[in-house]
Amino acid sequence: MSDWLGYIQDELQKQFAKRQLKLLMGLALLIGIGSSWIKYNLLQQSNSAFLEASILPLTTLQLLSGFILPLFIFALGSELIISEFGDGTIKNLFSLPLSRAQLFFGKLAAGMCSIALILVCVLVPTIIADLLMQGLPSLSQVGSLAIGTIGIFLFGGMILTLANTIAIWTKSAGSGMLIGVVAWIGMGPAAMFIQGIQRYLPNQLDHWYMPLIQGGDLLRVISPLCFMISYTVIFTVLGFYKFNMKEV
Amino acid sequence: MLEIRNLTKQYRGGYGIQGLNLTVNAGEVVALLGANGAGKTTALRALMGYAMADTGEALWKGINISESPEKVKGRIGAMIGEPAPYLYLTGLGYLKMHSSQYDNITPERMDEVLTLVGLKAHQNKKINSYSTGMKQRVCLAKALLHQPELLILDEPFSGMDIEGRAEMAQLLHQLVKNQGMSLVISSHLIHDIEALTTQVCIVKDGKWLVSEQTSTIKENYPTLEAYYLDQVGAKGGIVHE
Repeated sequence: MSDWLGYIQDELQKQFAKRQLKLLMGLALLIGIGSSWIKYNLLQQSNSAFLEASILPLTTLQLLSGFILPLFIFALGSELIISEFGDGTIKNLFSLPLSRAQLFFGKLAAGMCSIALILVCVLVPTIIADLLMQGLPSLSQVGSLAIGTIGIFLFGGMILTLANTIAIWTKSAGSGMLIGVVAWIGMGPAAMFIQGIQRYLPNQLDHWYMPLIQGGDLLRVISPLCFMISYTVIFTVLGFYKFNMKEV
Repeated sequence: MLEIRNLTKQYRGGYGIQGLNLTVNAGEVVALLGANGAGKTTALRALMGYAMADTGEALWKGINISESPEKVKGRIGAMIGEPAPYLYLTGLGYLKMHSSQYDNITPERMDEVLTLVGLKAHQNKKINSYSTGMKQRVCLAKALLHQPELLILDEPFSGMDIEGRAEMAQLLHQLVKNQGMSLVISSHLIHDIEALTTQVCIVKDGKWLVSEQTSTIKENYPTLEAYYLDQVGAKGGIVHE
């Protein structure tokens, strides 16, 4: 177990060394600072009750999760494993005293840690800004933020496994990114034209946590949450199946 | 220690390896000889689980390497195919990255292997700036880091100049003589490994041809090259005495 945790740590260090994660974290930090600046300016212009009641970190994360955050995670996920096959460095991993399952799930775990770091980069400036502008939040606001953040983190995990699986099956990080993004964008029109399909699509993350935040309605969130978890499991199983058969 | 039983790996194009049988005991140096495309690298890849064998198995002390890599790969070092280190890391960073997977890898041990492969002076440079020979050596350093009992090397001399080849041969000699390491080495440069080898295994056109102790070979042939040419049925060529 400790070897496996060490492997996850190594993988995370590799993500940092490759600069892609640093870039995404930098962008996330800028977005966090930018949204704080926007809220500050809006509050200066109008002291609306709506603005004062809003939770900046959660609002920022929700806005990001519409397109930018999935795009970031598609970029991370599509490179996660297949790039190691592309440049032959997967041999380094195959020579480690770890099983293929440990290698695969360690990579995914490192990817999840990367998502967490990106979220932290958005949260830190926005939480500080909210504290400075509005003082300590109420317990309900803290609870809403916690639920929203966990929701977006799980949602990110699903996108990561989707991008990773597409990349492994298509043998290309570029294809993984492209197909993933096109499929993602396509879900919007699909939901508009095909009646009843909306609830089966994985792009509506707020379906499962918004009822909880708004009214504590636990029953309404179970079905979409189950869908999201099922998609994550399906993508993971498909990805692992292909990874397990891959040769170098 | 290492036992390969009827290992077969075929590709759609017909290339691969068929029915490889081999036993490597402690301290033995086995040379896997064959022409380019004979199946040497495929055999080593199947042995290490980089590729899935169609039939047969490779056992390390009775444990199947492909099925339980977590139990055995801590005792095996491998450098197979083109060297592929992480180019964005430094030489030292590359070793550090792998050190967490093995017990008792100290900074001194990393220093030791970097000195052994002649990269101590370049340890803080990005691997991206290394020459092919240096990349080969940093991969060898990684393979040696955990003091494996068995080292598997595929064409370790490829891409190296004359000095590099001589240094590598010297290094392998040290590892075998001083540390008692077992070695499975594939090469078509027979002269570079002749002095080390205790057993020779010949593959031809993807088929395991023969394996023989070097001591027996030397009773009947002046050099390994002469033995090899005789076994594969090649005619002509310069036989070095």
